[in-house]
Amino acid sequence: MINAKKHVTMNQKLRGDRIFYWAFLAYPIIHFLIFYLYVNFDSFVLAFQRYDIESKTYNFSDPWYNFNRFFNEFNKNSVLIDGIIMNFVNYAFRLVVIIPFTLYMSFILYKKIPGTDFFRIMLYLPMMISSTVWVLLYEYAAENMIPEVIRSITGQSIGGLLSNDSTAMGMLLYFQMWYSVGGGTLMYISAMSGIPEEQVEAMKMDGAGSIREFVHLTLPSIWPMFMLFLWTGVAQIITSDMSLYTFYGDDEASAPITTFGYWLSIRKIRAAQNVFDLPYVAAMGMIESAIILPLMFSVKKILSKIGPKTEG
Amino acid sequence: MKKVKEKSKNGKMLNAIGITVVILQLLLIFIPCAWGIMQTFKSRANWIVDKLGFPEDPTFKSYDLFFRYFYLDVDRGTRPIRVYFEDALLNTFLYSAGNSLAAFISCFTTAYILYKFRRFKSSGVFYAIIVIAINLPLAGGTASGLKLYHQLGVYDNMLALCILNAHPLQFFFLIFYSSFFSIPTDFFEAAEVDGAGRFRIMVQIALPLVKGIVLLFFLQTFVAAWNNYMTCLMYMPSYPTIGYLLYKFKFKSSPVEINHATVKLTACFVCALPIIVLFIFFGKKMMQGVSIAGGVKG
Repeated sequence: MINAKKHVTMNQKLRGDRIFYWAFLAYPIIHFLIFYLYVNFDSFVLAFQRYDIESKTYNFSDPWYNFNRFFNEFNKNSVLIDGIIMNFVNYAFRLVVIIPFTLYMSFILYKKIPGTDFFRIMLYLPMMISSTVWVLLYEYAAENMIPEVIRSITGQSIGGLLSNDSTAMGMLLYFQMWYSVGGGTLMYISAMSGIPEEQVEAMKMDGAGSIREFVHLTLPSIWPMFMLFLWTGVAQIITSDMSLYTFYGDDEASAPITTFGYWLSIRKIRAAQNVFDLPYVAAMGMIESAIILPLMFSVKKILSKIGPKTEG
Repeated sequence: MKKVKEKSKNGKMLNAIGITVVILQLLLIFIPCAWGIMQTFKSRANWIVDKLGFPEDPTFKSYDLFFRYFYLDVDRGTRPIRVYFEDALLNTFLYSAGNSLAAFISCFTTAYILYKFRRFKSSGVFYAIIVIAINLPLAGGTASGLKLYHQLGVYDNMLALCILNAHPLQFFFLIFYSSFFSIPTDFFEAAEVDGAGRFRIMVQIALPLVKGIVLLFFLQTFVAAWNNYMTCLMYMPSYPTIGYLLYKFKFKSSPVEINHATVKLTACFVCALPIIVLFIFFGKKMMQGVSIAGGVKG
């Protein structure tokens, strides 16, 4: 009798648990089904559709229209080849200059130089402020402050650094570093802080210097995070607009350089404001994903094979 | 002995180089900031003759121009509306509060439910789906999402956008989920023995135990909403937030007196000021976010 009563109570509790569980998961599940699965599936379908202004519906009257439009525009626009090259230059700059510099800064601060806490706070502050603020400030500093400093030192007028074609590319590349080093540094420091103190001590007792410690202990320990950054950064080979949309807005002609990502952003944002252009945006998204996904997974595979091993 | 001395000398030299590099990086950021703030107190004439020095006769003219012309004309269907700084401020607060609250409820409750009932087989499946969806970079959803918003009649609707943003496919879901594992199960068991219901345990036991993360969540979502202009541009153009208004103001060239460095830099400074104040009070708390993110990703 007691057992049966206990069984009933247990069953009631389990039923209550299940009701509670499904009641709270219902909304996220519905949301996921509609706004993730359906939306992504519909994007695929939408890419092959066109908007009919008369009936105000999307139909399959010309399934390849959006893709043809994209490739036609791409073929006609020779600037786009430069844009793709620029995207690769930007990624290479990130790999060769920004990431090593960020890692160097992180390692310095991780080793607790005097004033580490102050430096960390100061490096974090720029992360908090809007990119538009930084772009505006950088623009005026590059166009007015730096040329004025150079003029007052050398006596020569050099003009604005962003409006000068020979310096604009360098300045726009440097902006990426100027703006993002602080955030990246703090992320790496956090990952480095997770390295057990005993391992660091053991390396020191083995007579390892800072460089050996970095190569054989620090880098392997933060490798998963490093890999994640490199991996997700691959998407930027195609999508990065190098903040050009914030610098120059919709006005492509005023930008001294272009990237494929900037070209895509302009068209996406313009098209997103017109319901009849949404299929074109969907087609662009599909082309983007078709390039990014295999690229990302290949890079991930390569990185997981070449990753360093810890010595400690 | 000689080797040890050499090593300590090398270490000191590395330290010195390190400090120099960090200071240099900070100077490269903060010198333009200080220069920019200084320019906001210059008159137009003063700026033309001297772009580097201190203001000759400090003036608030740029601030006056900023507050007069920092607006955007939007069309809400029925009639054109002029949105000024204070209206955008209200929009920003409403949007960030609504967005943060909706996203928080969704992230927190889903993480808690999947943690608390992890004995149910489906909870593992849901967790895996969320992790995959967070990490899978699908670029095609924008168009279809916008199409759906138009079809549902919720395009350019702030409240609807907040509700539609309430999903657990966010990094904070993972933070909440992993934080529950650090809470001793005794807390939940003791509450159950005392007769507390499931909802009460979630709200009165679990929630206060992760209140640090909750504060961090609200701070970060608020800052993101303040700074972001793209969401407004794409989804709610007639409810400009500060970030969007600043972006539009950057390209605004009429009347001619605002198309000037001193006024544009004033806009930068005024729009960044509330975030700087927030940083002064909650800077340490906000930095924890980076530590947590670094820890989780590492």
